[in-house]
Amino acid sequence: MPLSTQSQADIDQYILIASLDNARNLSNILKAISFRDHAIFSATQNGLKVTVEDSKCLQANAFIQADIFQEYIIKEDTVGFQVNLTVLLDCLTIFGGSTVPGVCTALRMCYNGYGYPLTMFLEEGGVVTVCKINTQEPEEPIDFDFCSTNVTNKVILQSDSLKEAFSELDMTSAVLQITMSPSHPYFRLSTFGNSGNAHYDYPKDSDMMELFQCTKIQTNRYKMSLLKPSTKALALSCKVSVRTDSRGFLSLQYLVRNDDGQICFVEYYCCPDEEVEEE
Amino acid sequence: MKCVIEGNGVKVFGKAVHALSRIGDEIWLDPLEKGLAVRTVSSSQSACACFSFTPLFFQQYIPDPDIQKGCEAVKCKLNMKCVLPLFRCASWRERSVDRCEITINIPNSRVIFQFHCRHGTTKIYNLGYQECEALHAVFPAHLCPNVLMAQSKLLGDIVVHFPVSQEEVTLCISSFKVTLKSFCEEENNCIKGMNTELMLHPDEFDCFQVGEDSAVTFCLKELRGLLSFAESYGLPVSSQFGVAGQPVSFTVKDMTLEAHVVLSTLTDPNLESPSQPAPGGVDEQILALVKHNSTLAVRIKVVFDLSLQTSSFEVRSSKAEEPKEQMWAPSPCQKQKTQTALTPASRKQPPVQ
Repeated sequence: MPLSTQSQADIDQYILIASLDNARNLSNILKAISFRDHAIFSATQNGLKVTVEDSKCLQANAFIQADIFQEYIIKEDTVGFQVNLTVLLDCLTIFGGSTVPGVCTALRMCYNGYGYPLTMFLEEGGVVTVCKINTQEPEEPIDFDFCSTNVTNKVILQSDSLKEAFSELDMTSAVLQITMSPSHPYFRLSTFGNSGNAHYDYPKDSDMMELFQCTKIQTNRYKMSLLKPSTKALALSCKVSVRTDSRGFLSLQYLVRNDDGQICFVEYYCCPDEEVEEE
Repeated sequence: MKCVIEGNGVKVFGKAVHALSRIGDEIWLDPLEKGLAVRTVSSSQSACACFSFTPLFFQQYIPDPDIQKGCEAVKCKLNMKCVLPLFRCASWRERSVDRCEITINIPNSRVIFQFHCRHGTTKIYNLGYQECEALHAVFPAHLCPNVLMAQSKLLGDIVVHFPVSQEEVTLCISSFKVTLKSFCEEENNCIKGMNTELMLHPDEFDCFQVGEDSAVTFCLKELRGLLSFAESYGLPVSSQFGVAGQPVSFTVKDMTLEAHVVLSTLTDPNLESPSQPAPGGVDEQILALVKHNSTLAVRIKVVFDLSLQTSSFEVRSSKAEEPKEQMWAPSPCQKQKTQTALTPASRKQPPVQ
């Protein structure tokens, strides 16, 4: 157990303590949403939620449940703060990428409350580093009002098939168009680039399709620049669920397995680019 | 035009596109009765390549579905940058692509590439094309006096010795040996860089026919694409050529496809008349000067006076002192026609100090 040098008095003042034997279980998943500098941390009894937003059109959330942590103590109903995510990730990886198997960085993250910095104790091979990152007033995350009852179309795919498509997407296209339909082409990703159009079709009876629930034909376009960061989350994940609601808002939910095989979730919400007439 | 390529054929087609991409920036699709011809030409028009796929190559080949309406099969030109990415990542594509359909859709001016992959996934690419005339390299291969044929593995083993940056090589043939060596434009570079020369015995070739002793200099970079294609499939490569200045052709043949690469070669200044017509008076002047000094290896310095828009020529013997100024290099297009090459006699001279 790392960092047993702290006294009981120190521990008492913290309103949030979260410890991990392997800091990568946190840093990997946070890298999947690190497209902006600032992140909103929101901790509850259930675990930690980290939110990153872009231009009021895109929101990414990473969920790390309480049982992922070796130690998780929270003394209030909710604890929220905002920190610089880039700095936080630099601290989590302060010992560099460890390629030696079995050697990993241990983490204890502590927070005294409003106005106090986020304190992180990191230990590897007997060397301890203490990082204190200033916190800010947490902004209210956008509520995309995406609830299950409004979902018109939903598919769950194995990530491998989408990874291929996303790695080949024509970047000269300003938008990514997603078509979901109960009939052909079922689930289609389209780009409109300088050389021409490209379409990636996934039929509903494909091996890769785990769930296919489409009630009506919907075609929506999303800015490519907004969706590009989601490729990081896709790369880590083994399954992805794609849902659109009646307004055309997109929800991408990624199931990520960490180094220890535990499950965490990352989700992306994105606004549609423009009104597209439904075919 | 509509054609369907099955499984492994997609990989072959992809490799052909890769080989063509080493030469030109545009790709021509020419659907003919006898098969689909895929061509390219280099930007300096010094190299031309064509892969002809017979109907046997395809699972289905329809050159022109509208033949009843009297429409001719359209010939189209695509940007190489648009087509090459479709056939990239050969290693996973061969695992995942079951079928590829290529269709030329005339009303929409689009070439449609449809890849049917594992797990039912389909990738459809609609690429815009330009309608164009067919591209042909006029090359009477049967008139060439010299013919060589070798296994691709042998040729692969030979070219691996030349650095990737080596632009041009000289192929010399006589009745008792074949030599392939690196070619340098200026003798300065010969001294500074590494030069490679390989000698081969006629027995190493599957076919060895010498009609006329010659030395032809061509661009190796443009040939590498075809050589690696041939090596992937273990196909022999045959070459037809004549004397310096006449194009050299390399051919790879199989039951289902035929690939040709025709490369221009540097002219030999010793010829009485240039084998390729020179564009305008400037080149004739240079050739005349060179002929006059043909017994020595010569260097020609061209000075452009931009204000007067005149140019003058200075011919120096190679044994003279090194000029301190930089030599102007002519444009790649002109270089093919006018640059000097070491004369056969001077090849035996020791390198200039």
